[in-house]
Amino acid sequence: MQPLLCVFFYRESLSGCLSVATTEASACVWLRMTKIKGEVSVATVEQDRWIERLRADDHVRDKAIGELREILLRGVKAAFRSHSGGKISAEDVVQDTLIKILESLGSFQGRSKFTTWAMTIAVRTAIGQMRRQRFKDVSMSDLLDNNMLFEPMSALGENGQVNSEKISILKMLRKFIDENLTEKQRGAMHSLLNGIPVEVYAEKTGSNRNAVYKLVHDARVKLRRSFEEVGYTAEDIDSVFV
Amino acid sequence: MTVLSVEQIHTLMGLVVTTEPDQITCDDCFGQIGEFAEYTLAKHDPSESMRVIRRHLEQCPCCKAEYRGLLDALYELQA
Repeated sequence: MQPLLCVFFYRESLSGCLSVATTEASACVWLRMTKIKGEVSVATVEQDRWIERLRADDHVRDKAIGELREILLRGVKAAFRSHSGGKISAEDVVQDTLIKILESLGSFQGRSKFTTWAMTIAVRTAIGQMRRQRFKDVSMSDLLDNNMLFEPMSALGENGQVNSEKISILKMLRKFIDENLTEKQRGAMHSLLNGIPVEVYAEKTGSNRNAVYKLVHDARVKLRRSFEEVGYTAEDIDSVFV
Repeated sequence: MTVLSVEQIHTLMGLVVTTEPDQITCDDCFGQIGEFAEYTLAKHDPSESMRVIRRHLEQCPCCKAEYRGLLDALYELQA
């Protein structure tokens, strides 16, 4: 007897993936069909019952949490190996992540596998904690320092050859920083140049990551446009500084 | 009062010359990064809407570091 497939939800995601959720007996089955070169094919059939299990009664739920904990622990330890930062515990990260996941099950949209979604939360939590640990002693005075002064000649460095075009670009850079960037933009750029992540700068200054990222990006755009307005393309500058 | 070091100035020039338009925020990126990572692992070209994620990763060191960590984690699970 063929299992009954009953489609109850259909959508097209931003990526061009078609996701169809079906019921097969009592199981929830996700079919993810990826559109490649104009042809729709079934790329993966994911019998992903994580949500259902994590919302179930005690025994089923505890077993699912235990399995997810092991998966996340393996992933977080791998992510640690390639990221330098403050020393933190993988077990603590996974515990924090599990709490976040259980609180936000409703926001899982099925754009990726459930375990991938869970791992994005785990890795962001891990790296965020490493950043906070590493920069916990950064003072507000460091963050409020928006001084981006430099002398164009000394910026050439001890081994720098006297290159008139390079000096000219550095003088322009100094002028554009002074005249075209706001105080906030200089402060955020200054922190970035001192290796302070946007996320840490945002937390310590009472802002948020999106806003600080935009502040820095807008400053970069302003500086690039300022150079373009006086006839210097990115390629021109690159050729002088490489 | 501090002044920028030679290295910082070169980093700044690097940031200026590599600046490209970016239409999304870090939170937008986070919302789609899992899907983007699965495309990468499957060696599929991302769709046009996913390319904005790649552009953001090229502009945002924080998101890029998290994306690399995610790939490392997912590679580990595939092993």
